[in-house]
Amino acid sequence: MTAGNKLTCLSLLVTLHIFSIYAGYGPKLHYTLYREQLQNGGLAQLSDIFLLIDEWDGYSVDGYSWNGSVNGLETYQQQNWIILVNGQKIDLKVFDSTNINLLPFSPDHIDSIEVYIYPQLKEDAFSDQGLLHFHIRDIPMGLTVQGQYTLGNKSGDPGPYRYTEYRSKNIDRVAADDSYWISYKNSTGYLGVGYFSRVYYPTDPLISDRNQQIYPDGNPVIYCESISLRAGMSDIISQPQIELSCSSMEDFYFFKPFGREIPVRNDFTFIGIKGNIDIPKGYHLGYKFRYTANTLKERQNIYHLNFDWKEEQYDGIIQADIQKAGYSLQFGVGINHLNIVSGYRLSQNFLNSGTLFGSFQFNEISHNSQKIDARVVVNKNDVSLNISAVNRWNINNKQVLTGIASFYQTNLISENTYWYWLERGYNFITNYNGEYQVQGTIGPAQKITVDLIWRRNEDTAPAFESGISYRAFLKKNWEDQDFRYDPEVEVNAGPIILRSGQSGNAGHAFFKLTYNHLPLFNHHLFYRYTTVLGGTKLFRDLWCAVPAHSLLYRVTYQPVENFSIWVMLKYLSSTFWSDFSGIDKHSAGKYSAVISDVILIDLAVNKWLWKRRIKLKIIFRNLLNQKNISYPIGASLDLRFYAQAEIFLNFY
Amino acid sequence: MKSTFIYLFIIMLQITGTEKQFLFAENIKEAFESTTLSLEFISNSNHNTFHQYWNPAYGAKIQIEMPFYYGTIQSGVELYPYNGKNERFPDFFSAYFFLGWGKEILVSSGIHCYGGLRVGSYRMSFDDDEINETQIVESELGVGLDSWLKLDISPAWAIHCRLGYLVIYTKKHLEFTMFSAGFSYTFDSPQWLKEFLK
Repeated sequence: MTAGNKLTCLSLLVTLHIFSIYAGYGPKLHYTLYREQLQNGGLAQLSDIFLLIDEWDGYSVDGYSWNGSVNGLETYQQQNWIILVNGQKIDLKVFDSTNINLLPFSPDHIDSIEVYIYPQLKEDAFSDQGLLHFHIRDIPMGLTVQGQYTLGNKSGDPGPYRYTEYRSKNIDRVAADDSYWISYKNSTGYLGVGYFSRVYYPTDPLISDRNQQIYPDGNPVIYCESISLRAGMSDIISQPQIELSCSSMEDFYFFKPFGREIPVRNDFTFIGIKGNIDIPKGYHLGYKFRYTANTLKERQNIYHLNFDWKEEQYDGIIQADIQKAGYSLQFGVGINHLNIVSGYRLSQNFLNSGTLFGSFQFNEISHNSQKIDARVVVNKNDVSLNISAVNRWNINNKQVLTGIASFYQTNLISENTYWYWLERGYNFITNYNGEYQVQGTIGPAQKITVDLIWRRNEDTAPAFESGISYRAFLKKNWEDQDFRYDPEVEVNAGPIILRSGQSGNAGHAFFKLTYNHLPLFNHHLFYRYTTVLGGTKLFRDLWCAVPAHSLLYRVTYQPVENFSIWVMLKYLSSTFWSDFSGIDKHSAGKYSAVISDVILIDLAVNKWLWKRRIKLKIIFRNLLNQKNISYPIGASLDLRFYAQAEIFLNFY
Repeated sequence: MKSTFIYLFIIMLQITGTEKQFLFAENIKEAFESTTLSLEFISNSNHNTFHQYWNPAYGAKIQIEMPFYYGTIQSGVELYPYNGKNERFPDFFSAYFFLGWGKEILVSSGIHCYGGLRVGSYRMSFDDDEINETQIVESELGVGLDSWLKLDISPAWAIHCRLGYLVIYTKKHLEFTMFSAGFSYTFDSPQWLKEFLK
């Protein structure tokens, strides 16, 4: 990034900030996916919620766990998008992967999801790469029993042709998930417990050779079990709520430096307590404590690869809210203790950090409202600042113009990357004969974002939203690697190089249209164009992996309350993955660095029975059975078929 | 093939009802009011690559049909054995569990015709002791077109013949044209069933 560009970005930030000092409050910078949308939409598994997020670009190696980039806020290389569940941050990330399937609930437990696609403060988290806030369905009064079963099948089995010259590889199920939940609530409190089990077979022909080679004694399977407990007391002054969950996943974890999946056991534990104290005259005090443990252990594999890694985090947060006629203020303080348990000899295995955060909102004056969010993270080595400023201008009662600018400084320990720990002695790569190189010094990076959004909303006409965005990435540390095809091991990963001091800037433009046609139809159309505006070669290469054009159309048809049809059409333009350039030739076309553009159609049919106590759903993914690859050496997500049954019984 | 399906679906919508009826689901009051139970004898009548290795025997189908918010829904199972032409190709037994939807039209007094779509799970059990246990039974998505001609012989009883086309989404698709004939019995749905389904 040139000095001129930097100056322009900073000027925009300062201008917006000054503009925001004028007047008042509360622009909502997120949208909510409500229960009705989630129920009607084609959600078979938790990771399917990404289908309903317009601004989500993602890739998956196995079709089950996804890496993504929200609203162009980051390249695919860093996965620091945030998950909150009922106001508590759930830190699923381990190294550079966040597997949402570890969450201890199924889609039918979700009441709504708030989607944050612009950098801002939410609770004690700063959504510099996007944030999903899951609200779990409230426990109803009385005794409740809830269950769900999902069966998914992927097309492409050999069938009887396995006995002929047309034989092909067997492809196993893509879902055999079940969940059970029982709860009780009365006037003094509530208690709920649940069990969840998920099964997925990573046996697509494009990845099965790798998985069967490293896991020779059985059929490759990803298996996850979770238990969960929620409890709360309403007759105690602070109304404490306790959440506890443990998940254990037998996974095939794709480790990019090795260019392959590694069988691992991923255990995840979360214990959270939170409460609120309401003080008269608009004051409000809240507290949160949480413990998170994320472990990668050895699972049977021929190379005996063992990450031998456990991250434990202890967090305590106190925050206050003040609501007044002219403004509202939220501020708080948090402490975090991170502890690493590993057989590797680390020069540092714990770190303490403190966070100060605040959000100041001015109520509306002269059709303008503002919000300023700031967070400072301090630890022994680093001080980082995150700030965002928003101005919302109500042009008239139908049109709104919103401007958002943010500055984000990374905190190395908050990023918690593999590379940070490698420098402190976690030599997993070299221990198993891998090679790496660090060019330059790994240091904190910066990001500047600017968004301008115009929205028109009328009761009788489609709601229309359009906007432009600018992203500048400065002093980033990005990986560069060269993958080759080797018939013996499928993919041969060359030495991974971490290049520091990288920069780049990108921009995108989008429009959204939402229309309720008659009361029966809900239409939603989204288009986005993204492009690189400048930067280093590595940045330009990385951005080529994000589709330049994405078009999405969803329609829900609900002629009666108990029946609906949902259809989604998605177009993604072709992408190029420079790490894999040349793999086409070596693999004789099995893999390719270029992923062609694709049109996908999904269909879901929902029918409720027995006064909505039972719900049946059938889902078709990729109805046209297009070759649907999102990563050069990943699975093709061909036509899939899911059948799902849910039951919800309440005795009160 | 897939585009043919889509075109057929659109054409079917156009010929079997008006857009207005479809949009507003004008059948709401009649939905699930009656149940038709049918039993059929089925025969596979086409010949393609698959039939170079297996001979179709004869099968049976049982299904129920009910009026839906628009058109008719059906659910049932189609059972069909196939015999290998030599010992390299083991016999297998198929069970196609399906859900269907379509529209019935009264052609003339007592004569009805129907066109619709079916989807379901096509389960194949192979008579082979040498393969992995998990592969003895295989399930795959099956999508088909369905049509029939029905003649009422009393207010409750009818005889019908049916022509169906079924595609199984194995790596190399299986394609079957099925001819069937049978009888059906229609009765008012029990109150508890109507309340459950509505």
